[in-house]
Amino acid sequence: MKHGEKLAPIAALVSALSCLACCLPFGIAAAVGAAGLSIFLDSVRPYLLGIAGALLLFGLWQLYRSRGTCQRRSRTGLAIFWTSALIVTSVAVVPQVVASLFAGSLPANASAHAADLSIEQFQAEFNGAADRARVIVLLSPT
Amino acid sequence: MFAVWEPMLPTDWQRPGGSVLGRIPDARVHQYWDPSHLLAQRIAADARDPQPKQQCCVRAGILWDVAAVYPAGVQWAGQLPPAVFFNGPVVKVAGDLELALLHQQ
Repeated sequence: MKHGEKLAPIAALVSALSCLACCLPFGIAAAVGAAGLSIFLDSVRPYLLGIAGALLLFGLWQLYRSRGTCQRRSRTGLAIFWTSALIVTSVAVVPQVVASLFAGSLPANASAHAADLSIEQFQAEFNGAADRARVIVLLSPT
Repeated sequence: MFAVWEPMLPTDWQRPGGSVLGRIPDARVHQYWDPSHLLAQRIAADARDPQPKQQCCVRAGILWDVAAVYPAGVQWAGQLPPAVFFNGPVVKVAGDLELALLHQQ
């Protein structure tokens, strides 16, 4: 097989994907991916959410301001955009709920309550458990 | 065991709900919400030898994602007693934390 014959299908695929990228913005999918990653990568969460927000804005611009080679706005593109916007917003605003969904479980202890910490009360509980070793962990909710 | 949740990341704008608290389902664990970082500040202020120096776990001057083990018998009077184990991030020191607890038994 000549090189041209090998490359032709690849070129067709690239061309098709390029067309699709215009009419169905892949930036939106990347936004969802970045937001999803932010659930698991605590240290870079703000940056990933920033990237997700920027990609969503780019997708919004693609859909409503830039027509490119697409003659009309596709319903699929609109549906994907608004679904993605909902997902990214959920990850940013209620990350704990989304993380639970990712984990495949509903909140395991929905009735649990964290007491507001007062040093005096904590000190009393710490000293009240002095008959055994005690562990303190400082954690962030998200 | 005491689990103290504190707001450290931009997304920590609400107190931990059931899904967060449910990550530590053991009823023996006392869970607290410390929005003003009172305990983190106290632990940092009272840190002294022979407590080990942590290798991480400070963000904007606030201690977080750290575990401390205090031996049986010691009391918190004027200052927190020195911890025999003090390090993080918690997910990475879980094994060492377990060993430290075993040594206390």
